[in-house]
Amino acid sequence: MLRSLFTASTGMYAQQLNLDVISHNLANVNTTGFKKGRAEFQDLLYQNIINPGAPSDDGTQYPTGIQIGLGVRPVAVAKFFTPGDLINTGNDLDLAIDGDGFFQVTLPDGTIAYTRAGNFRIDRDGRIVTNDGYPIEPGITVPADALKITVGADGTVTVLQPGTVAPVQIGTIELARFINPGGLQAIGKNLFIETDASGAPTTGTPGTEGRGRIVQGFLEMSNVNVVEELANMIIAQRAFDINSKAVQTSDEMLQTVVALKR
Amino acid sequence: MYKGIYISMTGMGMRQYELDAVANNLANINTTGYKRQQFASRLYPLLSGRPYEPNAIYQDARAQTYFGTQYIDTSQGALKQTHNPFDLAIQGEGFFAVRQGDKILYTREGSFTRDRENFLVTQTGLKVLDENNNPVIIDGTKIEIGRDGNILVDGNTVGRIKLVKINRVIHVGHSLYDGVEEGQANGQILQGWIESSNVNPMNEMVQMIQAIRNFDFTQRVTTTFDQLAQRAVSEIARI
Repeated sequence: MLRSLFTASTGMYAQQLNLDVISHNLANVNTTGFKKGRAEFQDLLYQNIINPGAPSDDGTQYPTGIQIGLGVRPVAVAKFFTPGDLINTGNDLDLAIDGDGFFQVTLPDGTIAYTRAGNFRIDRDGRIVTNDGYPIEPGITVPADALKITVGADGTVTVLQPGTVAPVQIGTIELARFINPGGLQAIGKNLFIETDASGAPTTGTPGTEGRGRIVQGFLEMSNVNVVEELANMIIAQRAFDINSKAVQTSDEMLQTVVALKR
Repeated sequence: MYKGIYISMTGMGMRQYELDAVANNLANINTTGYKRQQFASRLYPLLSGRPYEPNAIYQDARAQTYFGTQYIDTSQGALKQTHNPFDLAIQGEGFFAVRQGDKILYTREGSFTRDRENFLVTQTGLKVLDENNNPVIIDGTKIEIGRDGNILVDGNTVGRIKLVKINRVIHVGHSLYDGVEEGQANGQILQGWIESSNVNPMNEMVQMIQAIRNFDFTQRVTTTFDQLAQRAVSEIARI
Protein backbone atom coordinates (compact mmCIF):
# COMPACT_ATOMS: atom_id res chain seq x y z
CA MET A 1 0.00 0.00 0.00
CA LEU A 2 1.01 3.61 -0.06
CA ARG A 3 4.04 4.34 2.10
CA SER A 4 3.04 7.97 2.44
CA LEU A 5 -0.15 6.97 4.24
CA PHE A 6 1.84 5.43 7.08
CA THR A 7 4.54 8.07 6.93
CA ALA A 8 1.99 10.82 7.43
CA SER A 9 0.31 8.92 10.23
CA THR A 10 3.61 8.75 12.14
CA GLY A 11 3.66 12.53 11.77
CA MET A 12 0.18 12.81 13.24
CA TYR A 13 1.12 10.53 16.11
CA ALA A 14 4.25 12.57 16.83
CA GLN A 15 2.30 15.81 16.98
CA GLN A 16 -0.24 14.21 19.26
CA LEU A 17 2.56 13.34 21.68
CA ASN A 18 3.95 16.84 21.25
CA LEU A 19 0.59 18.26 22.32
CA ASP A 20 0.48 15.85 25.29
CA VAL A 21 3.79 17.26 26.53
CA ILE A 22 2.69 20.86 25.95
CA SER A 23 -0.60 20.27 27.80
CA HIS A 24 1.29 18.80 30.72
CA ASN A 25 3.53 21.85 30.84
CA LEU A 26 0.54 24.20 30.73
CA ALA A 27 -1.33 22.21 33.37
CA ASN A 28 1.65 22.72 35.67
CA VAL A 29 2.22 26.38 34.93
CA ASN A 30 1.55 27.23 38.57
CA THR A 31 3.16 24.20 40.17
CA THR A 32 5.98 25.09 42.53
CA GLY A 33 9.33 23.81 41.30
CA PHE A 34 7.91 22.21 38.15
CA LYS A 35 10.35 21.75 35.28
CA LYS A 36 9.01 21.83 31.75
CA GLY A 37 9.53 19.11 29.18
CA ARG A 38 9.98 19.25 25.45
CA ALA A 39 9.25 16.40 23.06
CA GLU A 40 12.20 15.54 20.83
CA PHE A 41 11.75 13.85 17.47
CA GLN A 42 13.96 12.03 15.02
CA ASP A 43 13.33 10.86 11.50
CA LEU A 44 12.70 7.14 11.15
CA LEU A 45 14.40 4.68 8.85
CA TYR A 46 15.05 5.20 5.17
CA GLN A 47 14.31 2.71 2.43
CA ASN A 48 16.99 2.75 -0.22
CA ILE A 49 15.37 2.36 -3.63
CA ILE A 50 18.63 3.14 -5.36
CA ASN A 51 21.80 3.01 -3.29
CA PRO A 52 23.97 6.09 -3.44
CA GLY A 53 26.90 5.40 -5.74
CA ALA A 54 25.04 2.73 -7.68
CA PRO A 55 25.89 2.73 -11.40
CA SER A 56 23.47 4.65 -13.59
CA ASP A 57 24.04 4.99 -17.35
CA ASP A 58 27.31 4.60 -19.14
CA GLY A 59 29.66 4.30 -16.20
CA THR A 60 28.26 7.21 -14.20
CA GLN A 61 26.97 6.88 -10.67
CA TYR A 62 23.94 8.13 -8.80
CA PRO A 63 25.40 10.72 -6.45
CA THR A 64 22.68 10.42 -3.83
CA GLY A 65 20.48 7.55 -4.91
CA ILE A 66 16.85 7.40 -3.97
CA GLN A 67 15.96 7.16 -0.35
CA ILE A 68 12.42 7.18 0.90
CA GLY A 69 11.99 8.24 4.49
CA LEU A 70 9.40 6.45 6.55
CA GLY A 71 8.35 9.20 8.94
CA VAL A 72 9.16 10.38 12.40
CA ARG A 73 9.41 8.96 15.89
CA PRO A 74 9.42 10.57 19.30
CA VAL A 75 12.78 9.91 20.91
CA ALA A 76 12.76 11.74 24.22
CA VAL A 77 10.90 14.17 26.38
CA ALA A 78 13.81 16.28 27.48
CA LYS A 79 13.36 18.04 30.81
CA PHE A 80 14.62 21.52 31.22
CA PHE A 81 16.11 22.52 34.51
CA THR A 82 16.35 26.21 33.81
CA PRO A 83 15.46 28.23 36.90
CA GLY A 84 11.85 29.24 37.46
CA ASP A 85 10.95 32.68 38.77
CA LEU A 86 11.45 33.17 42.50
CA ILE A 87 8.54 34.75 44.29
CA ASN A 88 8.58 36.20 47.74
CA THR A 89 6.12 34.58 50.14
CA GLY A 90 7.58 35.66 53.47
CA ASN A 91 6.85 32.23 54.87
CA ASP A 92 9.73 30.89 57.04
CA LEU A 93 9.51 27.39 55.62
CA ASP A 94 9.28 28.36 51.97
CA LEU A 95 12.72 27.69 50.59
CA ALA A 96 14.00 28.23 47.07
CA ILE A 97 17.27 27.13 45.54
CA ASP A 98 19.18 29.87 43.79
CA GLY A 99 21.26 27.73 41.42
CA ASP A 100 21.55 24.02 40.67
CA GLY A 101 20.61 21.36 43.17
CA PHE A 102 17.68 19.55 44.71
CA PHE A 103 16.20 19.13 48.15
CA GLN A 104 16.22 15.52 49.33
CA VAL A 105 13.18 13.90 50.89
CA THR A 106 12.59 10.39 52.20
CA LEU A 107 9.70 8.49 50.68
CA PRO A 108 7.62 6.14 52.87
CA ASP A 109 9.53 3.14 51.44
CA GLY A 110 12.84 4.64 52.52
CA THR A 111 14.17 5.72 49.12
CA ILE A 112 15.37 9.24 48.60
CA ALA A 113 13.56 11.48 46.13
CA TYR A 114 14.64 14.87 44.90
CA THR A 115 12.62 18.03 44.49
CA ARG A 116 12.94 21.68 43.63
CA ALA A 117 9.66 22.52 45.37
CA GLY A 118 10.66 24.07 48.66
CA ASN A 119 7.23 24.60 50.19
CA PHE A 120 7.89 22.73 53.42
CA ARG A 121 5.70 22.38 56.50
CA ILE A 122 6.11 21.11 60.02
CA ASP A 123 4.24 17.94 60.95
CA ARG A 124 2.84 17.12 64.37
CA ASP A 125 6.14 15.54 65.44
CA GLY A 126 7.98 18.74 64.63
CA ARG A 127 9.70 17.29 61.54
CA ILE A 128 10.19 19.43 58.46
CA VAL A 129 8.17 17.71 55.73
CA THR A 130 6.83 18.31 52.23
CA ASN A 131 3.13 18.94 51.63
CA ASP A 132 2.73 15.18 51.23
CA GLY A 133 4.33 14.57 54.64
CA TYR A 134 7.64 13.24 53.35
CA PRO A 135 10.43 14.27 55.75
CA ILE A 136 13.40 16.21 54.47
CA GLU A 137 16.71 14.33 54.38
CA PRO A 138 18.73 14.59 56.64
CA GLY A 139 15.77 14.85 59.01
CA ILE A 140 15.34 18.05 60.97
CA THR A 141 13.06 18.30 63.98
CA VAL A 142 11.92 21.69 65.15
CA PRO A 143 11.41 22.05 68.91
CA ALA A 144 7.78 22.64 69.87
CA ASP A 145 8.57 25.94 71.57
CA ALA A 146 10.51 27.44 68.67
CA LEU A 147 9.61 31.04 68.05
CA LYS A 148 11.33 31.70 64.79
CA ILE A 149 13.04 29.42 62.29
CA THR A 150 15.89 30.79 60.19
CA VAL A 151 17.45 28.99 57.27
CA GLY A 152 20.78 30.34 56.09
CA ALA A 153 22.02 30.43 52.51
CA ASP A 154 24.36 27.55 53.43
CA GLY A 155 21.45 25.45 54.71
CA THR A 156 21.94 25.82 58.45
CA VAL A 157 18.61 25.79 60.27
CA THR A 158 18.49 27.72 63.52
CA VAL A 159 15.65 28.46 65.90
CA LEU A 160 15.08 31.06 68.53
CA GLN A 161 13.64 29.67 71.73
CA PRO A 162 11.87 31.57 74.48
CA GLY A 163 14.16 32.95 77.14
CA THR A 164 17.28 32.87 74.99
CA VAL A 165 18.85 35.44 72.76
CA ALA A 166 21.29 33.24 70.83
CA PRO A 167 19.77 31.13 68.05
CA VAL A 168 20.29 27.37 68.35
CA GLN A 169 21.29 25.29 65.36
CA ILE A 170 18.99 22.28 64.91
CA GLY A 171 20.29 20.90 61.65
CA THR A 172 21.57 21.54 58.16
CA ILE A 173 19.70 21.16 54.90
CA GLU A 174 21.84 19.44 52.31
CA LEU A 175 21.35 19.70 48.59
CA ALA A 176 21.95 17.04 45.95
CA ARG A 177 23.33 17.77 42.54
CA PHE A 178 23.24 15.62 39.43
CA ILE A 179 25.61 15.65 36.54
CA ASN A 180 22.66 15.10 34.18
CA PRO A 181 19.44 16.29 35.82
CA GLY A 182 17.70 15.74 32.45
CA GLY A 183 18.02 12.01 33.12
CA LEU A 184 16.04 12.12 36.36
CA GLN A 185 12.74 10.29 36.40
CA ALA A 186 9.73 12.34 37.40
CA ILE A 187 7.40 10.39 39.66
CA GLY A 188 4.77 13.06 40.22
CA LYS A 189 4.16 15.14 43.35
CA ASN A 190 7.05 17.39 42.25
CA LEU A 191 9.49 14.58 42.94
CA PHE A 192 12.27 13.05 40.90
CA ILE A 193 14.23 9.88 41.46
CA GLU A 194 17.72 8.95 40.40
CA THR A 195 18.25 6.80 37.29
CA ASP A 196 21.19 5.33 35.43
CA ALA A 197 21.10 8.28 33.06
CA SER A 198 21.15 10.94 35.75
CA GLY A 199 24.08 9.41 37.60
CA ALA A 200 24.45 9.31 41.36
CA PRO A 201 23.87 12.52 43.29
CA THR A 202 26.65 14.40 44.99
CA THR A 203 25.27 15.81 48.21
CA GLY A 204 26.65 18.55 50.34
CA THR A 205 26.32 21.99 51.78
CA PRO A 206 24.39 24.54 49.70
CA GLY A 207 26.65 27.01 47.97
CA THR A 208 29.55 24.59 47.49
CA GLU A 209 30.62 22.67 44.40
CA GLY A 210 28.10 24.32 42.14
CA ARG A 211 25.15 23.63 44.41
CA GLY A 212 22.91 26.63 44.68
CA ARG A 213 22.29 28.64 47.79
CA ILE A 214 19.07 28.47 49.75
CA VAL A 215 16.86 31.51 49.86
CA GLN A 216 14.39 31.59 52.71
CA GLY A 217 10.93 33.08 52.26
CA PHE A 218 10.91 32.47 48.53
CA LEU A 219 9.35 29.83 46.30
CA GLU A 220 10.51 28.76 42.90
CA MET A 221 7.68 28.82 40.39
CA SER A 222 7.53 26.52 37.38
CA ASN A 223 9.80 27.40 34.48
CA VAL A 224 6.94 27.10 32.01
CA ASN A 225 6.66 30.07 29.70
CA VAL A 226 3.01 30.30 28.71
CA VAL A 227 3.59 32.34 25.56
CA GLU A 228 6.19 29.87 24.35
CA GLU A 229 3.93 26.91 25.07
CA LEU A 230 1.05 28.51 23.22
CA ALA A 231 3.28 29.11 20.23
CA ASN A 232 4.36 25.47 20.40
CA MET A 233 0.74 24.43 20.63
CA ILE A 234 -0.10 26.31 17.44
CA ILE A 235 2.87 24.73 15.69
CA ALA A 236 1.82 21.26 16.87
CA GLN A 237 -1.75 21.77 15.69
CA ARG A 238 -0.72 23.02 12.28
CA ALA A 239 1.79 20.21 11.89
CA PHE A 240 -0.98 17.76 12.77
CA ASP A 241 -3.29 19.41 10.22
CA ILE A 242 -0.79 19.28 7.43
CA ASN A 243 0.04 15.65 8.12
CA SER A 244 -3.63 14.80 7.96
CA LYS A 245 -3.67 16.49 4.55
CA ALA A 246 -0.92 14.13 3.45
CA VAL A 247 -3.02 11.19 4.63
CA GLN A 248 -5.95 12.54 2.64
CA THR A 249 -3.84 13.01 -0.45
CA SER A 250 -2.51 9.46 -0.21
CA ASP A 251 -6.06 8.28 0.13
CA GLU A 252 -7.08 10.23 -2.98
CA MET A 253 -4.28 8.61 -4.94
CA LEU A 254 -5.38 5.22 -3.77
CA GLN A 255 -8.92 6.03 -4.78
CA THR A 256 -7.74 7.04 -8.24
CA VAL A 257 -5.85 3.77 -8.59
CA VAL A 258 -8.88 1.77 -7.55
CA ALA A 259 -11.02 3.71 -10.02
CA LEU A 260 -8.65 2.80 -12.86
CA LYS A 261 -10.36 -0.52 -13.40
CA ARG A 262 -13.92 0.23 -14.27
CA MET B 1 -0.48 0.52 -27.38
CA TYR B 2 0.74 -1.28 -24.29
CA LYS B 3 3.86 0.84 -24.30
CA GLY B 4 1.70 3.86 -23.56
CA ILE B 5 0.00 2.19 -20.64
CA TYR B 6 3.33 1.23 -19.16
CA ILE B 7 4.74 4.71 -19.59
CA SER B 8 1.78 6.31 -17.88
CA MET B 9 2.01 3.72 -15.12
CA THR B 10 5.62 4.63 -14.40
CA GLY B 11 4.50 8.24 -14.24
CA MET B 12 1.98 7.36 -11.57
CA GLY B 13 4.63 5.39 -9.69
CA MET B 14 6.89 8.42 -9.68
CA ARG B 15 4.19 10.63 -8.19
CA GLN B 16 3.74 8.09 -5.50
CA TYR B 17 7.42 8.35 -4.58
CA GLU B 18 7.12 12.11 -4.72
CA LEU B 19 4.26 11.97 -2.26
CA ASP B 20 6.28 9.61 -0.05
CA ALA B 21 9.03 12.21 0.14
CA VAL B 22 6.56 15.03 0.86
CA ALA B 23 4.91 12.93 3.57
CA ASN B 24 8.29 12.29 5.17
CA ASN B 25 9.12 15.98 5.11
CA LEU B 26 5.78 16.83 6.66
CA ALA B 27 6.10 14.12 9.31
CA ASN B 28 9.42 15.68 10.30
CA ILE B 29 8.22 19.26 10.29
CA ASN B 30 9.01 19.48 14.01
CA THR B 31 12.14 17.35 14.07
CA THR B 32 15.17 19.24 15.33
CA GLY B 33 17.83 19.62 12.66
CA TYR B 34 15.90 17.70 9.98
CA LYS B 35 16.87 18.52 6.40
CA ARG B 36 14.14 18.19 3.84
CA GLN B 37 14.30 15.78 1.00
CA GLN B 38 13.52 16.98 -2.47
CA PHE B 39 12.48 14.44 -5.05
CA ALA B 40 13.53 15.53 -8.49
CA SER B 41 11.22 13.42 -10.60
CA ARG B 42 13.11 13.98 -13.78
CA LEU B 43 11.77 11.46 -16.25
CA TYR B 44 14.12 10.30 -18.90
CA PRO B 45 13.25 11.66 -22.36
CA LEU B 46 11.55 9.17 -24.58
CA LEU B 47 14.43 8.79 -27.01
CA SER B 48 17.12 8.47 -24.42
CA GLY B 49 17.27 4.75 -24.97
CA ARG B 50 19.78 3.34 -27.35
CA PRO B 51 18.12 3.54 -30.76
CA TYR B 52 20.81 1.37 -32.38
CA GLU B 53 19.79 -1.57 -30.31
CA PRO B 54 17.33 -3.98 -31.93
CA ASN B 55 14.62 -3.80 -29.27
CA ALA B 56 14.89 -0.06 -28.79
CA ILE B 57 11.15 0.46 -28.54
CA TYR B 58 10.87 -1.56 -25.38
CA GLN B 59 13.99 0.06 -24.01
CA ASP B 60 12.28 3.43 -24.38
CA ALA B 61 9.35 2.26 -22.39
CA ARG B 62 11.54 0.95 -19.66
CA ALA B 63 13.65 4.07 -19.67
CA GLN B 64 10.62 5.86 -18.32
CA THR B 65 10.72 3.90 -15.13
CA TYR B 66 14.12 5.33 -14.28
CA PHE B 67 14.14 7.61 -11.34
CA GLY B 68 15.41 11.09 -11.53
CA THR B 69 17.26 11.92 -8.42
CA GLN B 70 16.70 13.17 -4.95
CA TYR B 71 18.74 15.62 -3.04
CA ILE B 72 18.86 16.72 0.52
CA ASP B 73 18.20 20.38 0.92
CA THR B 74 20.76 21.40 3.54
CA SER B 75 19.58 25.00 3.81
CA GLN B 76 19.35 26.58 7.25
CA GLY B 77 16.34 25.81 9.44
CA ALA B 78 14.83 28.44 11.73
CA LEU B 79 16.71 28.95 15.00
CA LYS B 80 14.84 28.79 18.27
CA GLN B 81 16.20 29.93 21.61
CA THR B 82 15.85 27.47 24.51
CA HIS B 83 18.41 28.75 27.07
CA ASN B 84 19.41 25.16 27.71
CA PRO B 85 23.25 25.05 27.88
CA PHE B 86 23.46 21.74 26.03
CA ASP B 87 21.29 22.84 23.12
CA LEU B 88 23.60 23.71 20.28
CA ALA B 89 22.52 24.99 16.89
CA ILE B 90 24.68 25.44 13.85
CA GLN B 91 24.31 28.70 12.01
CA GLY B 92 25.63 28.24 8.51
CA GLU B 93 27.20 25.18 7.03
CA GLY B 94 28.50 22.14 8.87
CA PHE B 95 27.48 19.09 10.83
CA PHE B 96 28.29 17.75 14.27
CA ALA B 97 30.13 14.43 14.23
CA VAL B 98 28.92 11.60 16.46
CA ARG B 99 30.18 8.07 16.94
CA GLN B 100 27.89 5.14 16.27
CA GLY B 101 29.76 1.89 16.86
CA ASP B 102 32.95 2.17 14.84
CA LYS B 103 31.46 4.60 12.38
CA ILE B 104 31.31 8.38 12.42
CA LEU B 105 27.98 9.85 11.42
CA TYR B 106 26.83 13.44 11.22
CA THR B 107 23.90 15.36 12.61
CA ARG B 108 22.41 18.82 12.88
CA GLU B 109 20.24 17.81 15.82
CA GLY B 110 22.05 19.72 18.53
CA SER B 111 19.74 18.99 21.46
CA PHE B 112 22.49 17.27 23.39
CA THR B 113 22.66 16.16 26.97
CA ARG B 114 25.28 14.82 29.35
CA ASP B 115 25.36 11.15 30.28
CA ARG B 116 26.33 9.84 33.70
CA GLU B 117 29.99 9.63 32.69
CA ASN B 118 29.98 13.29 31.63
CA PHE B 119 30.14 12.57 27.92
CA LEU B 120 28.26 14.99 25.70
CA VAL B 121 25.70 12.78 23.95
CA THR B 122 22.71 13.00 21.62
CA GLN B 123 19.22 12.17 22.85
CA THR B 124 19.85 8.56 21.82
CA GLY B 125 23.17 8.41 23.68
CA LEU B 126 25.62 8.74 20.78
CA LYS B 127 28.83 10.51 21.82
CA VAL B 128 29.57 13.87 20.24
CA LEU B 129 33.12 14.15 18.88
CA ASP B 130 35.76 16.85 19.17
CA GLU B 131 38.26 17.96 16.53
CA ASN B 132 40.42 14.88 17.12
CA ASN B 133 37.44 12.52 16.85
CA ASN B 134 37.50 11.87 20.59
CA PRO B 135 34.27 11.99 22.58
CA VAL B 136 33.66 15.33 24.26
CA ILE B 137 33.73 15.15 28.05
CA ILE B 138 32.21 17.99 30.01
CA ASP B 139 32.81 17.81 33.73
CA GLY B 140 31.91 20.96 35.55
CA THR B 141 29.15 23.33 36.43
CA LYS B 142 29.58 26.37 34.23
CA ILE B 143 29.60 25.39 30.59
CA GLU B 144 30.21 27.90 27.86
CA ILE B 145 30.49 26.87 24.25
CA GLY B 146 31.85 29.49 21.91
CA ARG B 147 30.72 30.20 18.38
CA ASP B 148 33.85 28.45 17.14
CA GLY B 149 33.02 25.33 19.17
CA ASN B 150 35.50 25.94 21.97
CA ILE B 151 34.27 24.41 25.20
CA LEU B 152 34.93 26.41 28.36
CA VAL B 153 34.19 24.52 31.56
CA ASP B 154 34.47 26.64 34.69
CA GLY B 155 36.73 29.00 32.73
CA ASN B 156 39.12 26.36 31.34
CA THR B 157 39.22 25.29 27.70
CA VAL B 158 38.70 21.54 27.55
CA GLY B 159 38.38 21.01 23.82
CA ARG B 160 36.62 22.02 20.69
CA ILE B 161 33.52 20.52 19.16
CA LYS B 162 34.05 19.20 15.67
CA LEU B 163 32.10 21.00 12.98
CA VAL B 164 32.64 19.40 9.63
CA LYS B 165 31.64 20.03 6.07
CA ILE B 166 30.30 16.92 4.36
CA ASN B 167 29.64 16.11 0.78
CA ARG B 168 27.30 13.51 -0.77
CA VAL B 169 24.96 13.75 2.18
CA ILE B 170 22.48 10.94 2.65
CA HIS B 171 19.88 10.28 5.30
CA VAL B 172 20.56 7.43 7.68
CA GLY B 173 17.51 7.95 9.87
CA HIS B 174 17.31 8.90 13.55
CA SER B 175 18.43 12.43 12.61
CA LEU B 176 21.76 11.13 11.39
CA TYR B 177 23.45 11.69 8.04
CA ASP B 178 26.28 9.98 6.28
CA GLY B 179 28.63 11.55 3.81
CA VAL B 180 32.20 12.26 2.87
CA GLU B 181 34.12 14.63 5.12
CA GLU B 182 35.50 17.65 3.39
CA GLY B 183 37.37 19.56 6.04
CA GLN B 184 36.23 22.03 8.61
CA ALA B 185 33.00 23.91 8.12
CA ASN B 186 32.73 27.63 8.64
CA GLY B 187 29.37 27.54 10.39
CA GLN B 188 29.02 28.92 13.89
CA ILE B 189 27.77 27.17 16.98
CA LEU B 190 25.10 28.89 19.04
CA GLN B 191 24.71 27.72 22.61
CA GLY B 192 21.19 27.66 24.04
CA TRP B 193 19.53 27.41 20.64
CA ILE B 194 18.16 24.62 18.50
CA GLU B 195 17.66 24.49 14.79
CA SER B 196 14.15 23.61 13.63
CA SER B 197 13.64 21.51 10.55
CA ASN B 198 13.92 23.38 7.27
CA VAL B 199 10.60 22.04 6.01
CA ASN B 200 8.42 24.83 4.67
CA PRO B 201 4.78 23.71 4.87
CA MET B 202 3.69 25.90 1.98
CA ASN B 203 6.32 24.46 -0.29
CA GLU B 204 5.38 20.90 0.62
CA MET B 205 1.69 21.66 0.17
CA VAL B 206 2.30 22.90 -3.36
CA GLN B 207 4.37 19.81 -4.09
CA MET B 208 1.63 17.63 -2.73
CA ILE B 209 -0.98 19.29 -4.94
CA GLN B 210 1.33 18.96 -7.93
CA ALA B 211 1.88 15.28 -7.21
CA ILE B 212 -1.81 14.46 -6.88
CA ARG B 213 -2.83 16.45 -9.96
CA ASN B 214 -0.08 14.94 -12.08
CA PHE B 215 -1.17 11.59 -10.80
CA ASP B 216 -4.72 12.33 -11.92
CA PHE B 217 -3.59 13.46 -15.39
CA THR B 218 -1.49 10.38 -15.85
CA GLN B 219 -4.36 8.25 -14.74
CA ARG B 220 -6.40 9.89 -17.51
CA VAL B 221 -3.78 8.83 -20.02
CA THR B 222 -3.94 5.27 -18.73
CA THR B 223 -7.72 5.25 -18.99
CA THR B 224 -7.55 6.66 -22.50
CA PHE B 225 -5.21 3.90 -23.57
CA ASP B 226 -7.55 1.44 -21.98
CA GLN B 227 -10.45 2.86 -23.99
CA LEU B 228 -8.41 2.59 -27.16
CA ALA B 229 -7.69 -1.02 -26.42
CA GLN B 230 -11.34 -1.60 -25.75
CA ARG B 231 -12.29 -0.08 -29.08
CA ALA B 232 -9.69 -2.15 -30.85
CA VAL B 233 -11.11 -5.24 -29.32
CA SER B 234 -14.82 -4.55 -29.77
CA GLU B 235 -15.22 -2.16 -32.73
CA ILE B 236 -12.56 -3.39 -35.10
CA ALA B 237 -13.73 -6.90 -34.58
CA ARG B 238 -17.23 -5.83 -35.64
CA ILE B 239 -16.02 -5.00 -39.15
